[in-house]
Amino acid sequence: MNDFEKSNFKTELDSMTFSPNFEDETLKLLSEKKKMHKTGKIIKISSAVAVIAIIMSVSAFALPKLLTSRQVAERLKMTEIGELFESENASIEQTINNGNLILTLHSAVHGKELVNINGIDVEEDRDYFVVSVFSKDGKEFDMSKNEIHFTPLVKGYKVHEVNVCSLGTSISIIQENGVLYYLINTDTLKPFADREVYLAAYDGMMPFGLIVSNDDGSFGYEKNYDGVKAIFTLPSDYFN
Amino acid sequence: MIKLEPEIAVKMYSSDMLRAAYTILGTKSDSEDAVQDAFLKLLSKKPSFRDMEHAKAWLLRVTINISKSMLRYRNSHYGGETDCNTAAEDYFEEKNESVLSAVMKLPQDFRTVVFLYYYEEYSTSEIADILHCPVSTVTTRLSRARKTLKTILEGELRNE
Repeated sequence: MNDFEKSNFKTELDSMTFSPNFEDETLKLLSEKKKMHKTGKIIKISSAVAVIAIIMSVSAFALPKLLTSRQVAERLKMTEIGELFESENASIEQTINNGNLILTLHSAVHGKELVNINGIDVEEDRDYFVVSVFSKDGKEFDMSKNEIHFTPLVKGYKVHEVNVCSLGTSISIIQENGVLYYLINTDTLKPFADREVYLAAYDGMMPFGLIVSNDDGSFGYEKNYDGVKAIFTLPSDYFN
Repeated sequence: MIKLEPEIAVKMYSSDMLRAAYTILGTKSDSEDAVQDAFLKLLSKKPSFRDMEHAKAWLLRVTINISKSMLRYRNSHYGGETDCNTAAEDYFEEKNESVLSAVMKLPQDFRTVVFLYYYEEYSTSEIADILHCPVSTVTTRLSRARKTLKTILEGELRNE
C-alpha cells in the first residue's frame, strides 16, 4: 500500500459513521451492569424482578419485566415443573438479539412425567425449557398467528431425523406484558449427551425447509428464509 | 500500573475499536455489538495496565477476538450466507470507496493486520503482541495482503 492508498484507507475509515448515540447507550449499559454488581445480583433472574443483560444490543428500548421460569410454569398450571426450574443448575440465561426481537433461553431442566401407555402409567424422562421472546418496540404479539416456534436439534443429525416432531415435543405459550413465554417439553435428550444439542427458533409450524444441516453437523437457515433466526446451544455440562 | 475506568475507555477508544471490529465483521450493527461486549469485559475483568497504550492494545485485542468469534458464529449458524465480504461489498458498491473496499475483500486475518499496521500504525512486533502470534506471521500476512491489494486495486483502476 503506497502513501496515497494508506491516506485514502485512513480517510475512508475515519469517515465511517456509527450509531450517533453509541457512546451514550454503551455508558448506560455499563452503568446498569455496575448496579447489578453492587447489589450482589448476577444476571440470572431474581424472584421479584427479572432483568436481561443484553450484551448484543445497541438500540434504546425499555427492558420489560420478565416472569421467572417458575412463574411461567405456574401460569401454565405446571406447578411441579415450575419447582424443577428453581434448582441452581436450571438457569441458562442465553440471549440472542435477532432484528427487532430479543430471545432468551432462561432455563433447562430434566424431569419425569407419568405417561399412560396402553393403560399403564409409565414414568418417562423429559426435558423442559423456558424461552422468552419480546420485541424491542414493545408491541404485543398476535397470539392467533402463533408464528414463532422452537425445535430441539442435535449436532450430526439432520433436521428431519431429530426435531420437534420426532422428540414428541409439546410447547405451551403464554403472553404477558408483550412478552411471549414458551415452556417446551420434549423427550429426554440424554441419549444425545455426547453431542452438542441446540434449541432453534423458526417461523412456521415445521422446521423442515427452514433450518438446514451444515456439513459439519451444525445448523443454519435456508438462504431465502427471512424469519426468526436464533439457535441456542445447551451448555456442555447440561447432561452432567 | 493503572486501572482504566470503562467510562473513560468508551470516550477514548470507541472509535478505534469500532473500526477494528468493522474490518472483521463488515456490518456496523455487529461491530457496535462487539465493541459493547469488549467494554463489558473491561468492566468484569478490571485488568491493570502499564500505561494507556497498553490499555488500548488490550481493548483492540479483545475487540478483535470477540469479532472473530461473532464471525465464526454467524458463518456456522447462518450457513455462511452472511459473509463479511458480501456485506461490506454491498455497502461499498454504492460508496465507490476503492481502498477500503479492496481491503474488505481480503481474508479476515489479512484485514486485521492491515488495519493495525496502516490505520493504527502499530509496528509488526506490536501487532504480534496484540494478536498473540509470531512476528513472522504478521510480516507474512502483511506481505500477502499488500500483493493481493495491489492486484485488486490495479483491477479496479483498469475498470475505471
